[in-house]
Amino acid sequence: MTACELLPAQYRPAILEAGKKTAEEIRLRRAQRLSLVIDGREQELGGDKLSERDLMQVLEKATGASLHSVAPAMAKGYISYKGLRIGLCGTAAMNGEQLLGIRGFSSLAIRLPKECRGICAGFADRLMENGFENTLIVSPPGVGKTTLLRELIRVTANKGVRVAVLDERCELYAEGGFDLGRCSDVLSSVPKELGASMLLRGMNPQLIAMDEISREGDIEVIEQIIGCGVALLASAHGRGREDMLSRPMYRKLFEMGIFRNILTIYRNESRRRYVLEKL
Amino acid sequence: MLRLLGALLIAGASLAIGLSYIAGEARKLNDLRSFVLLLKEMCGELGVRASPLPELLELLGRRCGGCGGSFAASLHSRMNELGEKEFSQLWNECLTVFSRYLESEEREQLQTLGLCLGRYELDRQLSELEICINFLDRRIAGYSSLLPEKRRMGLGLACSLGALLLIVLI
Repeated sequence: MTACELLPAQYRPAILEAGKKTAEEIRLRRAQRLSLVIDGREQELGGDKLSERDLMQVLEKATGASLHSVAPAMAKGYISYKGLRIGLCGTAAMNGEQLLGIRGFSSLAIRLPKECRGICAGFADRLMENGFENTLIVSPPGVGKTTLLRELIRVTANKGVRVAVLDERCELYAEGGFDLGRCSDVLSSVPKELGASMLLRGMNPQLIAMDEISREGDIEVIEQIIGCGVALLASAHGRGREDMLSRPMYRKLFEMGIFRNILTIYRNESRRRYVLEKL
Repeated sequence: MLRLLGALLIAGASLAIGLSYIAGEARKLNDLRSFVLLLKEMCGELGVRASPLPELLELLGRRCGGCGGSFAASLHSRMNELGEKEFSQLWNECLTVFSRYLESEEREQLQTLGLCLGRYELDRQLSELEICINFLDRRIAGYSSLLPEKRRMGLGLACSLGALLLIVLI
């Protein structure tokens, strides 16, 4: 388990044990005990309370003791380590409006990516009835958008569709940690604006998959992809169709008629329900 | 005959002490220069490329000679211990090995730098590097100006001591 490498040795057995219980996140907070998020609920583990030094040690391991080299990622609120996303809190060092870095770390949240094969068996074929139809996966944070997206990419790519994966945060492919199917091409650590152009020019994709569209700039990227006649599979934070339509940015996407399907994930304890709506 | 041999040995030993003192002073100066060169290269690379430290240390280990280069290479080889040990701890452990000829103040200054590198924003790291380089540069200037004098004094004292022992014993 990659996350274990990051943590001080004394916490590793507890984390390994928790790995069997499908933990979703590891939370480290200064002056608190290590805790795990399992089925959406946070559970505190035993052991000593964490110090800022412990948090720093995790970050040194994750960055090769080079926080300055991940400053651009820190400005987005997280850093990546072998496909893990590590969210950060602390005191920001600013220069005007530019974030130079974070000091005095107070919290870290390590997201644990998962591979859940078979979760899209019930609806994957419906998305591909007339070629792949543009689909938006929607759910609140931490419910499983990325996991579902990863599985859909794998299934689609294994059916012979050339899927170009725009893995901005290195979470989908996790530096080779996940199987994304035989016809997938992965471009990692590139902003969507740049990555979409690169993939369209160089990889002749039939479908482009990307995680978490959230900014106005992403709409231009989507328009560019659709304009080239390439299908799109993306995910976004939200609670369902109505919620998305109430937000101007997403309403614009739906008014443009870009997405043909909305795939919403609902969670009840540890169970997930997937609802596909044709638009 | 034996008395003469003993006296010569003692005189030789005195001379060796003097020479070793001089060599130690010269070595200290060389090591300081080597560390300053390393830090200046580090400052340049960080300022221009903001390279991650493992990459930077590997490069400097190859590029810089002397104890500074060996220090960088040794530290680079131990970067896989991060997670078990803090970077500053690794830095200090390597420093202990490669800074034997430095004075405690110089070592402390380098230790302080190890607490900042890789941990804070780039501007702050560069400013700490500059402080350290300036401090070591001043020390080098001081030692350089005193070295000829120390060399003369060391040799003079050793020769005088040897001569005195020879006179007393013979």
